[in-house]
Amino acid sequence: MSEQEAVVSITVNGEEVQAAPGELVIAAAERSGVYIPRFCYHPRMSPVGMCRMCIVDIDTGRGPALQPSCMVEVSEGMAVDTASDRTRKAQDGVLEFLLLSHPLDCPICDKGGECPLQDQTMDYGPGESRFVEEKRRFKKPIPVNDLVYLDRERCILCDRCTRFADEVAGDPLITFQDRGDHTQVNTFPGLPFSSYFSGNTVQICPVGALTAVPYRFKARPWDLTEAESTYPNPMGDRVVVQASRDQVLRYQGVDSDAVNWGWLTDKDRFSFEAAASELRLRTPLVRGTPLGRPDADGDELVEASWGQALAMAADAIRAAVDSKGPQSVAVLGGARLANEDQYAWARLSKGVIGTDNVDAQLDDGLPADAVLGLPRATINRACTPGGTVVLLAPDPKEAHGTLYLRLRHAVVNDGVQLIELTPRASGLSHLAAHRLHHRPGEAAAVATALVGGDIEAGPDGRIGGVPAEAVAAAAAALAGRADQPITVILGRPSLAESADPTLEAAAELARFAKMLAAGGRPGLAFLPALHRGNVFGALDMGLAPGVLPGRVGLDGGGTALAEVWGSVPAAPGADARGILKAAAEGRIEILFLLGADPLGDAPNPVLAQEALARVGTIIASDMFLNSSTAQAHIVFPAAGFAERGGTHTNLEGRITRQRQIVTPPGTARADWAIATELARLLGADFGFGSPEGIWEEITRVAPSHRELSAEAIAAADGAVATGSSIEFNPPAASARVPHVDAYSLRLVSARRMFDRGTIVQHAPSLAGLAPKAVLALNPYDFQRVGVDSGTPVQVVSHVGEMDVPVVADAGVPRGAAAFGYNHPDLDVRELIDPQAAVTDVRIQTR
Amino acid sequence: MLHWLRAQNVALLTDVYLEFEAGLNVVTGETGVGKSVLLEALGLILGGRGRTQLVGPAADRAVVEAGFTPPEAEPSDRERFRALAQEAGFPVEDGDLMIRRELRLAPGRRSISNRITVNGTAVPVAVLRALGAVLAEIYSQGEYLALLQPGAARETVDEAGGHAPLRRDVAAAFRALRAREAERDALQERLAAALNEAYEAGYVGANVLGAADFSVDITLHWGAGAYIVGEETALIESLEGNRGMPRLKPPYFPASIGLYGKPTIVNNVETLCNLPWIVSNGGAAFAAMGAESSTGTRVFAVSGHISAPGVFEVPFGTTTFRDIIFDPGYGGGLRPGRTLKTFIPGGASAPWFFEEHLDLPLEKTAVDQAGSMLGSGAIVVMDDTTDVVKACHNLVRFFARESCGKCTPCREGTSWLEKILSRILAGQGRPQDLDLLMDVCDNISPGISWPPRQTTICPLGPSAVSPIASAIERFRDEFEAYLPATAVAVTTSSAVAS
Repeated sequence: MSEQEAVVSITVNGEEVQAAPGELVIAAAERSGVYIPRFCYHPRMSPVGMCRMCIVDIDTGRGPALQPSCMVEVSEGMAVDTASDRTRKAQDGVLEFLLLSHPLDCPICDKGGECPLQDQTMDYGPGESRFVEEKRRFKKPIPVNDLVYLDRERCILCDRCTRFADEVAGDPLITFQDRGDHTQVNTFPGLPFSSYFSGNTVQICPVGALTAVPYRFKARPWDLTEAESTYPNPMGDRVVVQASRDQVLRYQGVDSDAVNWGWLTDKDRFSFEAAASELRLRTPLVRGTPLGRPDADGDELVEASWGQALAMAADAIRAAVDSKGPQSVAVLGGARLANEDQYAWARLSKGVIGTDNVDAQLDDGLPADAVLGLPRATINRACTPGGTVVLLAPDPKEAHGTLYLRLRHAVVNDGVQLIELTPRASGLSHLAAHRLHHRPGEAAAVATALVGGDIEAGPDGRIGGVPAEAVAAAAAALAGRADQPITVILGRPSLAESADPTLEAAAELARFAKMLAAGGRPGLAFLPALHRGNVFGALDMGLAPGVLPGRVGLDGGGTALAEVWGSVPAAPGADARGILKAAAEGRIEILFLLGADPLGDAPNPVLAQEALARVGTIIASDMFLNSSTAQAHIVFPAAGFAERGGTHTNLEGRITRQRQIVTPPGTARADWAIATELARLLGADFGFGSPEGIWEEITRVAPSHRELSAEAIAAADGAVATGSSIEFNPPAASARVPHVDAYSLRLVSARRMFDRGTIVQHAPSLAGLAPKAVLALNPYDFQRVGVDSGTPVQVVSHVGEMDVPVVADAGVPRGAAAFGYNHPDLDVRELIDPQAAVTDVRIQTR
Repeated sequence: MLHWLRAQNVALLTDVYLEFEAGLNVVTGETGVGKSVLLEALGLILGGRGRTQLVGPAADRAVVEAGFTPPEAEPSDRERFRALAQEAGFPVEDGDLMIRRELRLAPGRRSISNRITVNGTAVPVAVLRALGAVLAEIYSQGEYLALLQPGAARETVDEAGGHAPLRRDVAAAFRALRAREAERDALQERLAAALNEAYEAGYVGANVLGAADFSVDITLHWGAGAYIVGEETALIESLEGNRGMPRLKPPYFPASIGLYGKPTIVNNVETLCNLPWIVSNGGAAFAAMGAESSTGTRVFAVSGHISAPGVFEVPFGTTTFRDIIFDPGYGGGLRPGRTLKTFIPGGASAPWFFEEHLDLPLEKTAVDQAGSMLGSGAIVVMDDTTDVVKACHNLVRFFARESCGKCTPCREGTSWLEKILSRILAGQGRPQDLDLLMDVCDNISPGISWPPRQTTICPLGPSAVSPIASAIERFRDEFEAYLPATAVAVTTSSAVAS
């Protein structure tokens, strides 16, 4: 607390305590070292004062009275007594009440050993129950969804899970039912607790009423070893990784004020199952014969030693560089690695081999300059009370779950106004102040009008498909709050259109940002929201064409980098699309796949297949074999999250630590070690032998990371890398999108949370949660199709066709058709024209 | 008698024609060959339920036909058959009867439609069911025909499961519920009609009685009768569409943060009813009535063991309990030959009063000082026939059931109190139970003082404390009398020992 802030003085058990105005007594006391017992109070949710455990004597001048300290705000001169006889008796009484019907089945309860009720029973209550009547009993356990079980008789009705579902997640699907001592938490009949965030209720349950299916009966808390780390998602959610017998068994969210506030998505929370998959790669693989003998012309992947595999790779690289030059080597992927791994691969490819054909994204994100060349926002800036958020990105609820929770909180509680500039509704739409759901591919015109640009509405009175008056209202709202921070969440709202319209829209907003900055206002900044775990680390570490570690261009590396690396590529290389194109044309000899699956992921699988078929040697480093790496010639087994140490960079540029807590399977190694070893075989000594050593080098050579010492990033919320010498280069010519003809619908496609991705599909508890593909239409358009919801129709674009069930969805604007990008069953890429700015489809019924 | 049966596209039978002779006919065949399908086909003829699965997989319709001679043996069957034929309007020539039933699948195979003819005349399926009862009897898996009737099937299952009494209870409760709903509906209608009249007369609505600057709307909002929703913040929660659970004060004082977070005044009907008189006659006239500290009039409901229970409006503060209970103009005294044991002065949550309190005036300060309250104005009189343990149990059970379940001491405490009292009444009390009751009360309402302190959010929890504290303090012997002899003996011996 700074000196300038107003301070309220209270006494807690006679000791003077300085508190902030509005602070709750329970929080002020805890800060001063006096822990008041509690069950329902949770600092990230509104207090309800239900459990009454935190009841203490509070005297505000009218004599001491028992009051719940979680509901009472501090006031000057207040005297709090947490140890009075009366307090003690009340708390003992509440604890006895709570235990009346509690089954005391601690020996078979997952919570045993880390249970607030168990812990506080040691300190409060009579020790032996005076309750001799029959306890309440319920059928146990009941699933509230596929991941969470509920044992109602253990429940103490603290309202934490139900408040979380309602207040935090916005999925109020579990609730109190019945009343009196028959009150129970339950789902509505026939409606499961379908929430992407249900696992958080397990973590915050103060008893063992809610348990997670993937963890039930797997371990006891006292057998777990744990380490605080950073989950490798673009948010960089802070987690505690818990393991037993060298196996990760649980992730728990950590309350990082700057990032995830303790929450995790179910996808991330339960993804630890994938790490233990039988299908993990354990030894290097090379081409060989069916009998397992290594043979460069073999059709199979056979096991090899690290020595063999590394030597084969080094020989192939040397041969390629010698015969066709460094440009014949390309690197795809690396966005899921730690910063240190990324740096080592960047140094290998750009410094040692000398190729700039490096791209961590697969033509499904935004160019590096759009992330590094625009003023960068933090999550907390986006959530500044009274500020404005412009969503120019895919639905955060699907793509960046904890960002959705933070934004939702900001909009609901802190008066942040949300303006959606997206081709369809998101999980936040019902909270948005303005919903500008434009025609796919026409974001730029709407953005121009939004920042006050002169755009004439079409003959239909619309701009980019949005009614002109709606755009004008949003523009007025934006201008009206221009003295407060404006934050643009920038990503790829739809993969059925090229990145250009989004980049043009960003350029419009960037111009507005410059205008605001000139006026001395807090202005407008961008919070990039891209796909893949450490994609922001990859961009900072130079795993993109034209950039080097530390947010510098090829020419601006500075002396430090050039000195350490020796040399850097002279001219910018190709991005993922260019690399695949070059490969398909036979110009790529060596293709590295660093945890990448262009066949499964890139928007153009046809091109990806042609590319993989013509590359001389594909060298993969991955945790699993996928459709692309199955075609590789050399495969290195890579260590995954929690199997290696390092650091992570989130969408703000915030760098936090990751820790190793288990050993990788088999002989799998960290990626930095693989790159370093290859470099050594190619004659370059990197001179580092640990992630810490690499980080030390990064802080020496990367301009944006100079201040970020190991100590700085070890802080609770890590440290944010700032500064960049990259400039944003929006596409030159405005992409003209054709008119949609009257019989067609324009396609929108974005990723869903549960998908056919590697981690989800290798985690047994998550794999089944991926929804089946449907084509969603606006109800008006749906009526035109004239079939029942769920009826398969034939969808035809000019590149492909498929049968898919069609459903009505009011979140899809008229004239558009929405199709998830990554369903396990049907692949929308068969319909998308990767060359065109937009793809139109027609629907045929049979 | 059944002469022939033809089934086309019924389940796995594509086309089967069977003729039957007089006497015993036996149809045999291997398992799975379709004998039971024939029975299903016959069932269709006799009015069984047509199901989509009965239509063969390759067909869009199933057809069953059968030839009968109408019943002759039993005169009653003959009569019924003739009556049926007449009512349904199908011809009966040369004593032959041909029934044809066709099940047609709707596109998508999700539903079926029936085409039924009896001797060429279309009839509804109900006719087949009635015919079935006189044409054939199928003895096989159960009372086949009877089970076609949903009601009969339900009855059979209930009888078999021993649930007939329960079913009757549920039916009776349901009828009672419906009756109460109808009663409530009538009251709601009446209130709504009155409000409409008020609108029409210009007493409510825009520009009341032509006033340019005064408009008021009244919205009727129907609750479902939860006691806790009488608490003002719970009422507000309920109005907002949430569970009727009280809010915590502070910060939710309705006058500052009320309905939808706006300042709100919550008044009960009694208060509002006073307004017209006060407006017409002036505040001074109202204040001139009653005592100095409790002015005006108040309404009291006197019930219980009393000759003339009723609702009485009396001058506030000057009337005494003795007046309102014994005065022939009010309660009219106890039933003949009875003496007063105790009375509740102001609703179920008020501590009890006794003989010595009768001369207290119905006045706030005096009643408060005597350790209770006028509260809701509901005076409940109990005479010497009252079993105070049962009375106490009845009151506590009420509070346990009406507890909303929000805060721990009330939710758990009230039901614990009820369970202990139930056990005592069942003769399974323990000597320590009386002290336990008092200590549980103390944990809900620390000190068991008046006015009550509370560990709860709202006063409902402490309300359950009042009857127990009053009853145990005054009538401890009656509670002890419920304890089993052995339990009492233990108390006695320990008393002797000490």
